[in-house]
Amino acid sequence: MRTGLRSTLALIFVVFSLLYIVFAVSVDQNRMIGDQEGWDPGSRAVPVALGVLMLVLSIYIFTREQREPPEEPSDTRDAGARKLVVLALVVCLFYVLLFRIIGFILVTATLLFTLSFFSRKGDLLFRDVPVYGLGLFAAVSFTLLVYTAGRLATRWMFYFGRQLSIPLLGNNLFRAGAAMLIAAGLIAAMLVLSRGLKKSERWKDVRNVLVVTTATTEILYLVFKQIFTVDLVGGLVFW
Amino acid sequence: MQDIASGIAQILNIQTILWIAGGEILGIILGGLPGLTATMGIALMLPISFQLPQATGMGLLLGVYCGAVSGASIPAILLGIPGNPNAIATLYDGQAMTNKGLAGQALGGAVVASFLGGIGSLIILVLFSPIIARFTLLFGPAEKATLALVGLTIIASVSSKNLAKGMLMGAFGMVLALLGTDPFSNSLRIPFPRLLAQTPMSGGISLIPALIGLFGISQAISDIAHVRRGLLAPKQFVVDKFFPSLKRITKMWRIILESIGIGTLIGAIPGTGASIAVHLSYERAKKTARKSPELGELGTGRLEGVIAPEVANNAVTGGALIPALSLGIPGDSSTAVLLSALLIQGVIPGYRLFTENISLVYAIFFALLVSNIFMLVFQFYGVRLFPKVLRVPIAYLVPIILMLSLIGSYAIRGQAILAATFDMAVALGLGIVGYFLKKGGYPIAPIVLGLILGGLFEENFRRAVKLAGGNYLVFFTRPISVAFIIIAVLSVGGPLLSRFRKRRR
Repeated sequence: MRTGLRSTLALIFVVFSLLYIVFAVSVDQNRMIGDQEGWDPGSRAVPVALGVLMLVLSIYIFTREQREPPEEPSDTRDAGARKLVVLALVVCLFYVLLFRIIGFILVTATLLFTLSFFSRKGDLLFRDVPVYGLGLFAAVSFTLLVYTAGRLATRWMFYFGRQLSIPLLGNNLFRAGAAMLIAAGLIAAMLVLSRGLKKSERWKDVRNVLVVTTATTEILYLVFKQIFTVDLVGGLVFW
Repeated sequence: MQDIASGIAQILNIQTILWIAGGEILGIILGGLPGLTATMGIALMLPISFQLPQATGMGLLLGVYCGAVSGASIPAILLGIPGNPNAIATLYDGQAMTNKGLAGQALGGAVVASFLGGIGSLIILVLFSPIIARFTLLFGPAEKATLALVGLTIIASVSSKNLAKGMLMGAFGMVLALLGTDPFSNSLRIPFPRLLAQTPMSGGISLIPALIGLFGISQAISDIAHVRRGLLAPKQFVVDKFFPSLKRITKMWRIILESIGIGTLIGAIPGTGASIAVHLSYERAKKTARKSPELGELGTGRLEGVIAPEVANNAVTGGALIPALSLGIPGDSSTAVLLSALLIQGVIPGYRLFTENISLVYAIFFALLVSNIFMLVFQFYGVRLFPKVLRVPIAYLVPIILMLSLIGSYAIRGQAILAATFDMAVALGLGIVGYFLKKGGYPIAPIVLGLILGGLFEENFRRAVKLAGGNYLVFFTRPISVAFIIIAVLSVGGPLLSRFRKRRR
């Protein structure tokens, strides 16, 4: 029996179809409200039929995959590419699991920096870990600084808007725009201060990843939280 | 007349115009970056579109759609890498023109062709969709159930070289759509109902996180594997002397008209899409060029070879909206996402849309017109600028797309943290599933169709049988439904028969 990805997927679908049929048969056979005659096929009918169809098709595909020529090498045969894909999956999984606990700003900055850093490197090598650690610390700290500056400005604008009866200062879009300008100013200042890094390609790269991380996190925060009022969890960043 | 004015008013306001313009620029950039598709761009913008008024949201999505379809020609011409499958045929002559130092002419020609294709198909959309929508008045539950079946079988049969895989994916999408609660009795239809009754799982799988996962996350994961191979390695090219002369374009009138027809017709057939239309129009243009010596041989770096596929792939945009708006059956995966945006906002396509909400239909038509105009304007001025986008390292873009996908799926129910986190998990889960399925040669588009049409099929199937007094043969007693069954059987049987014939030979 072949064990390539195509065969494995077909086998997974065979198992999934069997489990789905078991589930579909166990669903309560409820009929439409007002169907005393019992003419409605009921809530099981379509799921059971789909389960059987999937089972037949997946068995057919599985048997065909056995007869097909061996699979061509895929992109992820390259060890570095495979490691990057695994890293992306793991980091995204942690992102979803930790989002509600740690909060949007911290997990987003961590995910973005981690993925951008190793994508730029094109591999996951142990020797890059110290630089990554330092860079991550700097990226998260800088993102927090930009976020805090924006938050403070937003609060002050809201406060003065009410005190001085200036409705514009209470406008979400205006405040988001102002926070974005502050973020842009801080990023520009950081770029000016880090001009000396030009000589070191490695640190210049870390700085660029840091800028992408901070700018993306702040833009996402301002667009979704401040303009569209999506409840992005604060988590550990309680302010 | 009042409806037309109302539709135009929904689009001609500063907010909507700016959103369409933003969508257009984003679409061109997304289309221009190899590996990032129009469908992915639209799926990523869905959460933002929900925060906007209906017509504005649709305008934004249409802007992304038109922009991404036209933008895909940039890397095809300059790098020889199509931005997405829609630009495959543009590559043949486009790349040859770049090698001859005519990159500017090719890019300019592609812009003009995109505009002509978009406008041509829009005219056909405006003329035909109300007629088809009127036809849906004859549809009862039996016709609706078999129509859903037609949509599923056609897309399953054309979206994959392997019919069984396409059908399996369609069924898988329907299975996902049926999770949650029974539409007629409201009883739970999820695994471990006692345990999961109080969780967001009881509401089933929402369409948008599923779309974002299947198109955004799966694509981003797959792009990460390409980062190492330097897919976007900048190449040196000379881009000057933009835009061919009007005289030259006029000479190609026949190719342009034929490509509009091919693109619109192929777009209107569910499941076919631009990648088929561009090849058909290119082949047709080859034949036309052979008959007219002044047009020259295609494949050797001729402008005609860029114009034909670019007219066709943009004509698909209007064509694909015809069945989407009039029948509720999307023409391709991008319109499937557009259709889901309408459905989630409570807009049901079909005759009722054309009678009760006609101003929205006009707004959509007008938004498509504005999108095409913006596409022409932005590409006209940006034709020097957009090629520079190709130099952006993809290592930065992929994490941003992943992030946008996760936060976008969260934002849909962003006021309810638990449900929003569940949506994010659904998007990630389906993104991973989609990544492995694509690697295994399974098409993704039928899953989306299954997700959209699964509920429609079940509801109408059960209603039809109930109204017929439990008679399952009701589908064979009504002419329209019989016609749909024949189309469904032919769409499955046709490829099987041709394969059988090939084997016998």
